Amino acid sequence: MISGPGRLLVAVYGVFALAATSRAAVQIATKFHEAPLAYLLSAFAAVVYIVLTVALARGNRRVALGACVIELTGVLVVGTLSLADSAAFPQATVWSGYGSGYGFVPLVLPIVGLVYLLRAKGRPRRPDLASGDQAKRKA
Amino acid sequence: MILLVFGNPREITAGGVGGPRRWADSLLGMPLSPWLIGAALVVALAALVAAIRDRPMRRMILVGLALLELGLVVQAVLALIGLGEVGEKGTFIGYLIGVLAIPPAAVWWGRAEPTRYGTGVIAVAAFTVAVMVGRLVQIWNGS
Repeated sequence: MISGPGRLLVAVYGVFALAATSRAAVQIATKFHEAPLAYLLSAFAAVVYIVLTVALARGNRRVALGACVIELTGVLVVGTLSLADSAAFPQATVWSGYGSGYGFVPLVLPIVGLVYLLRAKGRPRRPDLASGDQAKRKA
Repeated sequence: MILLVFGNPREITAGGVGGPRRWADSLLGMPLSPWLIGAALVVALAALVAAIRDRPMRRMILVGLALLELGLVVQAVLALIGLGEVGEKGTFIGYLIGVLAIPPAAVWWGRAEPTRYGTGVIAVAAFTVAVMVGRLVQIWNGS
């Protein structure tokens, strides 16, 4: 299991995985015909969040990196489209308006995730020896 | 503030039209909710300060989280009793029951990490509880 700042990241991603999944489930179950594209995107976003949460928690860097890139692309593309052509996105998804409905966390999260994953790259495999966390634990 | 940050802008306008009266209506079925939002924010702030100062998780924070969970259970019982008036029943019940899982999950995930990041997990969870209870009140208001 992951330790250090990654654990915090997993917690935030877990919340968003939960939020996006529930939202997509409700949308698809109750009013799918109203905006199929938007709701499918909601479901897609939810899957990306779930994959990211699990990959981060298990320390699967490559999968997490890939999912982060997809997430960043998604929030940028959907955010731009939702502003440029609001008729195509009449219903909200987590990525609409660059995640403005969620305090822009969906926009910031993949950037934080990428920074975390790329910074962790240069470290040795055992995080306990690589960071200052071990010293802090003893203090 | 939570509702402003996280709510749908249209929903906020709709809630704003009714103003204090609608907020008062919401208290009939969910008298605990404003207190729970306040308590969750206090726990979140305490955990955030502890995390920033790099202090280990204080027992007080865990006790606060336990009390919060207790309040959430009472809220769920009260709200389920008065459920007849709620529009979006599925979403409402989802939030009502789902929020109960947040504090235990945070303690499980946060305590395994004895650094400031474990305390950060508690802060995130408590803030999430505040937001979810805020959404519950919005749904109860029918906005």
